[in-house]
Amino acid sequence: MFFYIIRRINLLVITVTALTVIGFFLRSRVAGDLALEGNLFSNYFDYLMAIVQGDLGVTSGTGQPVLDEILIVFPATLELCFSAFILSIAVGVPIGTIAGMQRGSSLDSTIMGISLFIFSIPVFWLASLVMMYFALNWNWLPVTGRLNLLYEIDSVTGFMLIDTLISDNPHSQDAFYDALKHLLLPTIVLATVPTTEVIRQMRNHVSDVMKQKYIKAAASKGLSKTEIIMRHVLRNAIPNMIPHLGLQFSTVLTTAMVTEAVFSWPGIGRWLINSIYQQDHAAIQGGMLTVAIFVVTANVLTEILTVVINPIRRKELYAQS
Amino acid sequence: MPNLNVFADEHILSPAEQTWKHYSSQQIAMAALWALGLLFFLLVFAPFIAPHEPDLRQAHLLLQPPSWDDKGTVDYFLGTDDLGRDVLSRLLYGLQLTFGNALLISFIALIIGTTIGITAAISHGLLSSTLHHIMDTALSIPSLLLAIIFISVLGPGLDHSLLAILLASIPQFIRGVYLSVYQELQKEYIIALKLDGANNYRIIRYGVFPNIIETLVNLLTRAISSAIIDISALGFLGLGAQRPLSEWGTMLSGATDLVFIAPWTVVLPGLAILVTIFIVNIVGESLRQSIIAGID
Repeated sequence: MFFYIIRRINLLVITVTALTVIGFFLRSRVAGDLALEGNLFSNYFDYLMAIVQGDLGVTSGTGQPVLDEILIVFPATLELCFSAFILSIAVGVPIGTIAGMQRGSSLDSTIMGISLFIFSIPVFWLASLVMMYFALNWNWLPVTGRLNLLYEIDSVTGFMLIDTLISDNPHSQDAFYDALKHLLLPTIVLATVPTTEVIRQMRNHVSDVMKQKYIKAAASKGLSKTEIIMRHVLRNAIPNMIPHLGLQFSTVLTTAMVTEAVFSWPGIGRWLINSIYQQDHAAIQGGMLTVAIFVVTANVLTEILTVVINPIRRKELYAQS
Repeated sequence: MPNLNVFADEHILSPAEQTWKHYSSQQIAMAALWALGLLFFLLVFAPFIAPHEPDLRQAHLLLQPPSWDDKGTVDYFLGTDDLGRDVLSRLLYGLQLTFGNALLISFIALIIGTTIGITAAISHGLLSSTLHHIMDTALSIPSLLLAIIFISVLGPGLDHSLLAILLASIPQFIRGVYLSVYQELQKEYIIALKLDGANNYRIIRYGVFPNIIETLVNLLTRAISSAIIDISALGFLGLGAQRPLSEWGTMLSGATDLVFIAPWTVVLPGLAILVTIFIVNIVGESLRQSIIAGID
């Protein structure tokens, strides 16, 4: 167990080092930003020191420190990702369970067929269509951004839903609903592909559990179907889902970058893509490091969490070492 | 000719025949296979089928509706876009740019990834452990993000985006092949082969390979569909293929504001991406199940 965690943290360190090398390369293209005397290694070391102190350079677009800008845009992305992630689990887990319980039935093949179809939809296309029709043509929901400009909300946490709730603005209630409305369309679009993945994985795990003998034993004891699902099936299937969910989160984060570009969501994806257009190397370096390190850390944490939560995985590890 | 098989000996189907028998019994899978065949045909013969040059602008034929519309003409079967270019021709050439490149990338990644994966699985010690670590590193970052990182270093462009997607999809193959070869090597029939004096090549060729085809099909399906998505997403974001190339994502990126006056310019490229990925996925998934059924 201890060695396992050491191995994972080792992996984290190697990955982050590899990323900082790319970052260093990008940053050294910014003229006059890093003092380029001395050899490559001492320059790299200086760069690492600067990152550790939170100095990611200055954007060439606005002249602001890169870190300050990232602290504004990254929470917006995370808010979008979390809500899409929660939505995909809330929809995917029950549907996947239903399909897995009746594997091979016509209901199962219908669900899997539809989810394969939805999986094939290119997200930027869906985003454009949804935005054009729901927001522009039918005027049901706001088109772009996170909040109507009428409301003046101070950024405390960077998460708009929380900020509007704790704000002392007299209209904070209305602002909250407005923020929710802005969040709705991007969330649904972003959640489509992950939902189909959750359905697929959940269905496989549930049907694996259904083949086990303890399910038969539980059924012969006279437990009702709901009791079997609640007590045995879900409890054994959900721990196996955690590694998939961890991977899903990084997929959501990347897909969010595309979704943001369509919905003009002021998140890190749109910001990073704009920086690439403008060849703003300091900003690219900072944005890339932030997103990649976040993804890698989240993955390593999920892997460790899997082992901690799931006794079966732990047993495998003990057998290995 | 009369049936000369007087003795009732049963013809035992080989695994490949079993697989085909299982596959051809599924109607949807067969339909998808025909559709895939059609896509290949269009891919190869696109320049001959396309009625017009993809970049030919005709100022007097802006936003011509498709032929089934009252105002449409058969000459421009799927209508024209806002610069008077024939949408059907652009879609056909786009098939080469999006689907063709995705196939190319996936097969190159398959060859490189499988070679490295098998090498890693049969080697021991430092090489295996190093490969394992590098793969874990590269895999923990999603392919589109990896591609965006590469492009941020290399700069936008179709070639760069293809290179980036290729580099991003190789680790998936290495990891998948490594794991399944490694699991096969633990099994007893491999030990039997070794006791028979088989060398590494024969163990891999006759022992392991027939049993990892299912994994390869699965990995290839995923790689092709994610390559299509990534190529078109990068094209859409303006980081991949640049205008006036008729890559499907690039076609969409300029056209979304036309959705109300000329819906065909927006709906058709997106549908093309959707249908292509859907067909690839159905064929891949059914083939995988048939291979499993063939081995059993």
